[in-house]
Amino acid sequence: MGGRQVAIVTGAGQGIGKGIARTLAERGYDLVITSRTERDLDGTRQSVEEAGGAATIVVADLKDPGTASRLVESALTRFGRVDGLVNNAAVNIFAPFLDQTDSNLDEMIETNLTAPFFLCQAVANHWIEKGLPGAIVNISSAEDTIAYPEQVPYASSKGGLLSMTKVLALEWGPLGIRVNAVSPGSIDTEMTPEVYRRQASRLMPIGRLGKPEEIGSCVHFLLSDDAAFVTGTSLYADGGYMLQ
Amino acid sequence: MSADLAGKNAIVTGAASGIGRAAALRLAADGANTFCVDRDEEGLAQVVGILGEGHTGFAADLGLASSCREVVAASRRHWHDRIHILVNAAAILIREPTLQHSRAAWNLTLDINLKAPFLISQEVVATMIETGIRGSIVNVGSVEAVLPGRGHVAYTASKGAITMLTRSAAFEAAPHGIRVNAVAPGVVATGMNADLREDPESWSEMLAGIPMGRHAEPEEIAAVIAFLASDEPSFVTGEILTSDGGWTLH
Ligand SMILES: NC(=O)c1ccc[n+]([C@@H]2O[C@H](COP(=O)([O-])OP(=O)(O)OC[C@H]3O[C@@H](n4cnc5c(N)ncnc54)[C@H](O)[C@@H]3O)[C@@H](O)[C@H]2O)c1
Repeated sequence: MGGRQVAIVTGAGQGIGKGIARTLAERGYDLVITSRTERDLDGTRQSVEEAGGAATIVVADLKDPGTASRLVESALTRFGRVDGLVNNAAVNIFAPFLDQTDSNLDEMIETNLTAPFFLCQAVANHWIEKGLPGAIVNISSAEDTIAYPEQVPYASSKGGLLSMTKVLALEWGPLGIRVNAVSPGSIDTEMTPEVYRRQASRLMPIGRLGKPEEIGSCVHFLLSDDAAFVTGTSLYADGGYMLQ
Repeated sequence: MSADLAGKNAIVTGAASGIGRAAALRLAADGANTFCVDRDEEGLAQVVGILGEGHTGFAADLGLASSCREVVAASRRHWHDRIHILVNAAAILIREPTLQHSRAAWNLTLDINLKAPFLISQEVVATMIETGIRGSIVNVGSVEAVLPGRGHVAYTASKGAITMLTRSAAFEAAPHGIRVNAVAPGVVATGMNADLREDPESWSEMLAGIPMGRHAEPEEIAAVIAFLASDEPSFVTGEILTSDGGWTLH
């Protein structure tokens, strides 16, 4: 393989995305990191550099149609290659089903499902054109399978993301492009409500919430050659939550 | 990159052939000490010969409950109770049509493929709890837990059961920091399907149904086992990780 590999990570300014970027940097990746706020990305870049990696920042809204190709071009311009794509960015607006608005729905479907769709297209177009292999990891959610109240649009977007993962794996299997998902359960991030932390020892079989880096190590595995025969799969990282 | 298993002690069943053999070699390459179990003494001696110092072979027929207990007792003596990893890979597959599937084939298959992982896991989890080791167990299931193969009903049933053995053991072991997961391989070229490969036409027909267009090598499944056995997926338990080149997507 030679030298460092390159991955694009969306939603990399905080939380799980920041953890993924850090973990990948520790294991030999340079990164294109993107989110809507530059200030957050500075922190991620610092963390990536501390881990021995290089990071290019792209400040963009994933809902903009031009963002996907911009990200792929950034990788190629700065690093000359792109080996992996991690679709991590997502929004979740809680409301009872009858109160969910049009704009809520659009925001969630466009960010969580449409943006990954076009990013997969942009990066795979590059790989297929050049005859290169590649790996995509979509960050789904345990909610692609199990139900929680007041999250119909979010759960629908994640169910859609999981289905998309499977179909793309099927279509691109013959081309050497692998597509998998990691479906996290409750992960401790800046956005985690304090009550989740308090309840974790009772609600999680493992007795605690997950850490962003624990999703990072799963993403790293699925991007790596150790997962050469793994495609179309979702790896649930939920501390055993779905066992109960 | 390899997960770091330096200093970890790993029991691997079915280590004389196929996936178990590749798993023993991979775990060792990642730094683990292995305790290799199989009833095939010749194959076992060969693997242990390759593995070299720090690795042990233990011949046992896992179809016998008493042997399963001996495996754990012997490995405990060998490592002074310190077991970090268990890989349950030994299994058999008997081809007999469902309506003619004999009681003998049914019993033997379930004894080796299901009862042995159960008995060994039970004692290994107890040992880990005793020593406070936050270990990892990896069962080798199969995509046949989801999509039945033809003409080997006991095997298919045993693999369906491995899914829920994995999940229930994971649930109960979780509070002790012990993780239990399974890999569910698709088609892997091993001793288990050597007979099928003798008919190249139907073999390639089967491969054509796999999106990746090929079977896996045992080493590719061993890589997944090594990941699950390591501390890398520290938030993953009760998971059945499919590794089938996309075979079961449609
Ligand atoms: N080969 C595949 O395509 C495939 C697919 C899915 C799952 N698997 C699973 O992978 C695992 C390994 O199988 P493999 O394909 O490497 O087959 P294999 O036949 O090459 O290896 C199985 C090993 O288990 C040992 N074994 C069988 N019965 C035993 C007993 N009573 N006591 C001790 N050892 C015993 C055998 O001696 C052999 O060394 C099995 O659990 C199998 O069900 C294989």
